Amino acid sequence: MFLVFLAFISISSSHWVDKKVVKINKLDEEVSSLKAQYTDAHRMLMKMQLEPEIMKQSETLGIKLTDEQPYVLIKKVYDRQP
Amino acid sequence: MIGNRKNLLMRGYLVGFSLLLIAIGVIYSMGKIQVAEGEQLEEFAQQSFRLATEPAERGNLYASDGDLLATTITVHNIYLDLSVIDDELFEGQVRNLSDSLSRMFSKPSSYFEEKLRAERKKKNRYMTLIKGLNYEEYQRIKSFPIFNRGQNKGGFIHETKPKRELVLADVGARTIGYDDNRGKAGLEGAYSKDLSGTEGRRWEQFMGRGQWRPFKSWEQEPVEGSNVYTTIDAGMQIAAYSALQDQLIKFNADHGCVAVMEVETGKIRAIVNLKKITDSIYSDVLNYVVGEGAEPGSTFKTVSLLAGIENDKFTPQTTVETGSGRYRLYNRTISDTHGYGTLTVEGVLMKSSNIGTAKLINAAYGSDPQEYFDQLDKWRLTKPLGIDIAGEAAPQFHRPEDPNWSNITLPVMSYGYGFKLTPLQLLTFYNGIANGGTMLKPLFIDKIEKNDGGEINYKPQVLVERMASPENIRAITEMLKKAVSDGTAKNIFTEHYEIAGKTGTARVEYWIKDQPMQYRASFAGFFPADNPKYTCVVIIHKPDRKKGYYGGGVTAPVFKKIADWVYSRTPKAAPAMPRLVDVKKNIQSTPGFKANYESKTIPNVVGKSGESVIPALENLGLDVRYTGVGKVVSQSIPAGIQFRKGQTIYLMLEG
Repeated sequence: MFLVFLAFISISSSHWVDKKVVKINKLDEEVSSLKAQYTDAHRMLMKMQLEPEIMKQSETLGIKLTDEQPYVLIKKVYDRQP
Repeated sequence: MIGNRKNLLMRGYLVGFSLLLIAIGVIYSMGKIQVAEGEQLEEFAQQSFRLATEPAERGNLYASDGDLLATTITVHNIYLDLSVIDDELFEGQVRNLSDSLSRMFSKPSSYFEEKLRAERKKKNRYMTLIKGLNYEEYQRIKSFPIFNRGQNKGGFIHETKPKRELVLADVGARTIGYDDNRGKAGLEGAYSKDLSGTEGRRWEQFMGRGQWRPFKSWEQEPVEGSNVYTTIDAGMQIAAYSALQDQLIKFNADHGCVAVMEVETGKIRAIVNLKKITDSIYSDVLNYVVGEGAEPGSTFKTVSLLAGIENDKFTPQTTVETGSGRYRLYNRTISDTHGYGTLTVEGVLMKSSNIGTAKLINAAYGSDPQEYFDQLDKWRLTKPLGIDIAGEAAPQFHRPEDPNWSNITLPVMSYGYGFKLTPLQLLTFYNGIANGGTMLKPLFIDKIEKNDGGEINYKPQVLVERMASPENIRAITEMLKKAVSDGTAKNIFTEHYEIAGKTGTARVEYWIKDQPMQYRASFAGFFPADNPKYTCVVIIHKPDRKKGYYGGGVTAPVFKKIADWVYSRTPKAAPAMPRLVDVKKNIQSTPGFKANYESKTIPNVVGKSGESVIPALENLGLDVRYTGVGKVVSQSIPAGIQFRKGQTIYLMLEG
């Protein structure tokens, strides 16, 4: 009787493990798909935040880059050389 | 009873015997499986195990300020199994599907419909529809009619592939490089080991329905690749790229390159190489900065003259006769663009006189050329720099002990011919001057960020502690400054900041007969000259000679554009701001004013607080105009004078 009980436990746990593995594999797939989505978005963001891209967009608004030297208005502590 | 018992016994034996038979059968089968079919079965068992590998994710390549340069993205390839789609679905939806595809890929709808029908007739089970989609496009195409039924009913087969993507596309492509079936190149190749990480390995067991389960723990855990931060400044890189590209197109040149180095650290902030592919299309396909050894021409005069000054052969004021622009030395005629007459050493560099340089160096080192080479050796100009990027061209020099050495070799060498040097080496030398005589090794990497959070930081490396005495460094810097303000690069002179630099116009392929002379224009220099921030070398190879070929006109403007880019982004100290007045303190410390409303004369309000004076005077019937804040400094109508109502009084307040 005890042996039957043990066998029962063993079989059910192995099934349980199989189910887990299937679930893990599925989640893995989902993770890699999300990662792919992230890198895609990250890459596009990086492209968009480059100066020439921003200038292209802002030129439609009539904003241009200056050739003049800017002024330091606020001196921050971390600007100072150690 | 006995018969019954006997019967029972017989039955017992019978059962026992049959059990025995079964047992023998089992043992026989066991033996058979083990011995006879053993090998076959073991092989079968092996099939349900595999040594699975898990690829490690490759690290990213960043610019120094964290802009992404190269990353691995997943591209989605779409294939179709046209045999699994049933007729009803196909006929019903093929028009809709073609319309959707036509909108997405801007090709006519009929093109897709015809193609799909043709392939379906052929019962194609693996038709390539489209490759290289990104995630968003994949999501979109997945939702199209027919395709939304999935693989088993809609025949939609989706495969992914990792792909290395350069965010800046062609900008700096060769320096960023690659590490794939083409081999290893650039930074991707140099730091391949750090970027690629370690592949994971473990045994897995087949468990049916296409699933595998881990059988043992990792034999090798997967370790993701490290992120590599380069010293490249993405903004400057783009600025340098477009500056060089514009100029190459303008002069229809064969190829060109630019490299910018940060003076204090030796960090390479921008490195651009462009080669003409077809007319006005240039692409970054070869790393000229690192890999192209060539005769530097006039930019090398700086090296020769600094050597002479440092070895006390002459001073910046020493004069030399360059005559009418042609000079015969040994059996070679050396020529200048113009006849400059008598020049000082400073003038030789400013006007870039070949004759002057050749005469000075020949007089100084002609009897012992080895001394000149000792100086070059000391400056590390004769050996490769030993950078991490593969493919560095080694410098090539003729030495005095070489059989093809002659008397003319040294004078010709002094103005940059007869040996080969890479642009990077020239950059390193000029940067040494800009850095007050400390020559630094070019640095391409800021840090490597490991997956476990650890960091390896790369520090500047000193190649030559002291190239020359501080006075001589100052003297050569002055000479380079004058070469820009009054010399061959006058055209890029600006009042905003000082540039120190030297042009070069080297003849190339002069050994090919029956070809009009070709040139290699160059410029090497640093800015701002009084406190150098960046050193920059620009090379433009074989510009169209009809459009111009002098270093001053062809390459110096590229340098200027980059310098201007830096200038317009370097904030300067704010001009003196108007003095701030502490209004609260002023009001509290300044005595108030109370008007005597009986009086018909102007009271003395100087030194009283404006806050109390102005309403009081207005109450007296005066029209008060004032400037500033705080205390009253002066009043337009002096105290004691009679006033009328409505008369205007001007007050000047402190602030």
